[in-house]
Amino acid sequence: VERFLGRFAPPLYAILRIIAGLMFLLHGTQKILGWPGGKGGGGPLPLLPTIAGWLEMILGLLIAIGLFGSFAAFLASGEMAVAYFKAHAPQAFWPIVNEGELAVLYCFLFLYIAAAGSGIWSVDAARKGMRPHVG
Amino acid sequence: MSRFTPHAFALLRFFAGVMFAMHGTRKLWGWPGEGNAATAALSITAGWIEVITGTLMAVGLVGSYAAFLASGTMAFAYWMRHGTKAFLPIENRGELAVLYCFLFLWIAAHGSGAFSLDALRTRRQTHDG
Repeated sequence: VERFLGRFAPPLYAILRIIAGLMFLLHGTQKILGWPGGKGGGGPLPLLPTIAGWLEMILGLLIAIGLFGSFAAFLASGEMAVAYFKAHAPQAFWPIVNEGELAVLYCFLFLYIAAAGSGIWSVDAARKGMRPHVG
Repeated sequence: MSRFTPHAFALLRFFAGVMFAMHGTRKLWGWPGEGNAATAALSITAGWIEVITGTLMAVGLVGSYAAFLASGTMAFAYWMRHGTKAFLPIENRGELAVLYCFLFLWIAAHGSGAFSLDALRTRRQTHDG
């Protein structure tokens, strides 16, 4: 599979980054704007979810379009680590039982994106591509 | 940060593989968690695929093939259980399936990378040849 899929690795990485960024962004809009799903249900949010919501909206968007992708992903990864240990880990040991599996997966995925950068189909790539022409 | 990319990839592959395999163990043997073991043929099939491909990905043995199969399983699971209920993954509770699906598809293209049995095998081959 590596041999025939291998050359598609950069676009598949871009698709993964964009989808993960957008779904992460939707967690933010769900917290702050009550969309999608209308979980918010009345009353102002406590401080911590408000901060988390704004982080998710901003970082999710940056990751999806690939602007400052490394920094955004690093912050998002840290946020997910905090979220996991605050909201999920006290409930049970295994991620699959404490419902923190998604947080774990986002955490490690964003850590990888932080290390690897935005890759192709990103604003970062476009900016880098412009530099040799300008310089 | 970029010199840690292989390490970060290995961590991601390992944890995704282990958690994926545990969906299988939960379906087949009711662990972890308190659910009962699955009885439907489709669930048992899915459970075995998850246990086997999850373990293979975690240790990085034929990681590409395992990830490709796992990705297909997740795409199937998404359209079977989640995609028909609501449009957005966050609403139909299929977000995890979507993330696994695209993650594994990319791992299939990327290969197992560092710290894997595949890496050991390739190294031995180049020494032998």
